[in-house]
Amino acid sequence: MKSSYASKPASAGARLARCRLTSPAAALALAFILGGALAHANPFYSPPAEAAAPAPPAPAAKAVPAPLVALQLRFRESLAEAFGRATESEEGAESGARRAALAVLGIAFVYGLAHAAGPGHRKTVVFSLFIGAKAKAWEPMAAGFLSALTHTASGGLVIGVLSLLRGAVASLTSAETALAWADGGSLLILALIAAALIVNKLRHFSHAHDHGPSGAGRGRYAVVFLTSLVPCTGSIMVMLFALYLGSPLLGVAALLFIALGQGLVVSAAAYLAWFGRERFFNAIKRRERAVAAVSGGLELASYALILAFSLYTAWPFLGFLKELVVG
Amino acid sequence: MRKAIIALALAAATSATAFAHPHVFIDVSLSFDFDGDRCLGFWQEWSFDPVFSAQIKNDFMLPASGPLSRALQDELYNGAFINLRRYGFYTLLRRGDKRESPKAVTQFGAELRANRIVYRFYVPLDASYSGGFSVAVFDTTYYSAVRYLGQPGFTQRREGAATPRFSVESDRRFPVYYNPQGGPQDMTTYTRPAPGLLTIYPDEIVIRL
Repeated sequence: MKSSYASKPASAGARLARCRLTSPAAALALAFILGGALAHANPFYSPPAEAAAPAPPAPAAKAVPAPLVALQLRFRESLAEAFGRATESEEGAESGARRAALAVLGIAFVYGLAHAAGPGHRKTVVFSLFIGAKAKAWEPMAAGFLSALTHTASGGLVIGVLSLLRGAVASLTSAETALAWADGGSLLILALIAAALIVNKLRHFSHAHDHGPSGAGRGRYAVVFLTSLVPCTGSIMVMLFALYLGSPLLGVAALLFIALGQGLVVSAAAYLAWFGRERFFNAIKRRERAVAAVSGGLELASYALILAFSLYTAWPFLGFLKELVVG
Repeated sequence: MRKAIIALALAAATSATAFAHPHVFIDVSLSFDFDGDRCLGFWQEWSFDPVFSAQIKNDFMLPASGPLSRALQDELYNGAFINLRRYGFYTLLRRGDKRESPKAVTQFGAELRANRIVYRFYVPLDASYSGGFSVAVFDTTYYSAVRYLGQPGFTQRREGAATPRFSVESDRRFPVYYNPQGGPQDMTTYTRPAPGLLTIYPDEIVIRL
């Protein structure tokens, strides 16, 4: 026997979507601003009766090894359980709540480590930056933590802003759409920066000398910051869950511990490149001309790697933008 | 050293695809309904992970615990379930080399169990489902990860009929295909290989009589 169900009334988001888009630019702007609230990326959720604003394609999905899926689920269940205990015990046993809150922070830290060890998190970017140019010993760590903090904080910020716009806790769907925009946008910015660096390097290639970190430093941190603006999905999940349970402060604290865990992993990737470069150049330091040539070549290659990676990853997003503008 | 650097750079580049799936984890248990050799259909019970459960509770303003009214269950059906028909309800049926997904399911119900949302629904099968066949619950978009909980259950309506046997197998002769670049708007089901598609062999529950 098939069940019979009445259709759901149009949501506020759906009512907003009734606005007709009169030009590609307006469509693009409106999609960017409201895309999070209107698009329906979540396969469980029915789209509104009216046409929703188009949403950019999500970052590429690939089969995730079963042990990694099991590990993610385990973290998620442990976090949820600890969050539940922390929020439930708030009214009663204070020490119980404190213990549960500490458990949340501990799990968040391990989650940050494991999450950053997986694909993404701009490890390629920091790796390429530190293989390409000379840096002081503390810089890989600074870049790693800058990247992790920016990445994690933007996840929390997305949820905060979407929740404010919505007047209630944001949905995962809207957060995912915002994430897809941020991911595509930051990859395009990264590609532009890499292209500019390549042009700049080629223009001065004949005078290429490794001037050390003073020249490259600021630009390097700008690249790390801009490319890490993509919101962290793990942080989004944790912040959403914290808000669902009415514990925003514990959520923010958990984000900091996630960032700490991620920072260690991303810094490790940066140090891999840094040590590799240092050892390589120490081995050939007597041949200064060769050092200069190899250094310049490596720098150029690393920018080319970033450009190729950005364009490859942003390709579906570019296709989406083209379709949105051209129709 | 140079080889090591190049290898490291390549390793970093190839592992850097920015994906973050799965978003939802589902524990699935199945119970088959037999009349002699014929399988009339089967029940699916999906238990969602605590985070996605919390999202549904938040979005549909469900109570923290306790039973869900029929009206709330209907709202969940319309708002957070029936769209899955566009994904074949994540259900892949296979007889020999013929694979299909159910067009409809029936008797949907939802409940809160501890901190989880649990869906239960029935997948009716036509008369051709006699003898052995396979069922996989699998999301080819990788939005959701599915885990089978224990051995499937069954009911046998005909006294003295054969007892079904179940095993979980991944048969490499019968892959499914998916588009790794397909975003959340890509609801295409791929049954044949094509450029750009990747191959996966889902774990199937094989039913033998």
